[in-house]
Amino acid sequence: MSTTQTKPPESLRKRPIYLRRGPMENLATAVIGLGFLMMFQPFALALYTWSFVTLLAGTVMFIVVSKFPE
Amino acid sequence: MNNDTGMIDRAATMAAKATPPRLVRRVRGLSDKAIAWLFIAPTMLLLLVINIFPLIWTIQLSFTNYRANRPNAEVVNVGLRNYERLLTDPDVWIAMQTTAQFVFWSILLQTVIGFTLAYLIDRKFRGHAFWTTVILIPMMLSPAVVGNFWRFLYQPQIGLFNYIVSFFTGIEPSSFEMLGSVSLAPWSIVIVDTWMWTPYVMLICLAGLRSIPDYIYEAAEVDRASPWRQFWSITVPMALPFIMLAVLFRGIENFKMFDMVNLLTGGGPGSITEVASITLKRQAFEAWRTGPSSAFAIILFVAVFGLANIYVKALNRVKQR
Repeated sequence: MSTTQTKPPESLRKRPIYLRRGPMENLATAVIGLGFLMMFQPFALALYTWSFVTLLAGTVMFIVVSKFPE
Repeated sequence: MNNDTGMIDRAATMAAKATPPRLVRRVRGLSDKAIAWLFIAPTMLLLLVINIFPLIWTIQLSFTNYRANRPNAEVVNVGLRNYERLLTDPDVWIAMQTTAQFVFWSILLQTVIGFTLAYLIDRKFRGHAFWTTVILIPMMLSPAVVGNFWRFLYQPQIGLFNYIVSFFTGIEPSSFEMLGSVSLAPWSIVIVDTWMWTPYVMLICLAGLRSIPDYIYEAAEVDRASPWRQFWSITVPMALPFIMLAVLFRGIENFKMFDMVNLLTGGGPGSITEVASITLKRQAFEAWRTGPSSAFAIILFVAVFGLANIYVKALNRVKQR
């Protein structure tokens, strides 16, 4: 019985991790989640101050990486 | 029959002859894509005028010191100062926390009660259609009407709410004030919002429950799965995309919630129920600080947009399972 392993397409294998949609979308989601928690947390004003930048970075990143090929 | 076909042909020939040749050429020259664009152009134009243009204008105003009550005053570009002030202001930070608490509790209650009601209605007992209609009534009322009549219900002297609480707990009806008390005022808004919007969540959950095919339950019964097991292994996972959709819609709506809070407490007592939208309204239309309030609107927009992105991603993942 032959054991054949399905390899990902050539184009995907060459693509570095920062150009892959899946991992980058996960990263962007994590950044948005972090920014959201920072904005509404009741513990530190400094976290609130930086929350908008974090949220904006995550949202822009999400919009960009969601256009990457699967 | 042949006579009818002949008449249609003659009518078509006459219509073709009546159409000016230049117009015929022009319409025939359009590709399918161009015709599609022609059809969606009015909607696109409307969207641009009422959605995109105000958004771009708000972004532009957020970098200025513009005041809407002084339209002729010189508008100075202040860069990121409006954002800097808002993001270092402890009062705005507290308004954000109030919003988060309000959103969390109202969505939690609406989801739990809404799903429970949907589950009960889905049992299809006698008169279930009547009770579905009765439950849906609060959702159909205007928030202004709801806000006004709940203000009467919450009256400590004559309000029905205090008497109902008194009936069940034995507390004197005039001994507590829902809208005037610092500890009770936030809950009074959560109660009204839950009362009004639980039917909406119930409706979406009911659609989810009705979409589950009966044969899955029949197969589970053949396998001798208990009702508890069926609920956690079939009902909840299959209704989850619908529940998540309801939470997304209510979450976005509750972040922008203004009318109910404004009518019930106006942000008071003190600033205990001052949610972000009330702070925004005070800055924009009481202090007339249009520039900073535009920056505040953009901050809220980005927060809701980011949340919606996460949610849509989670929803897609659940649907793919």
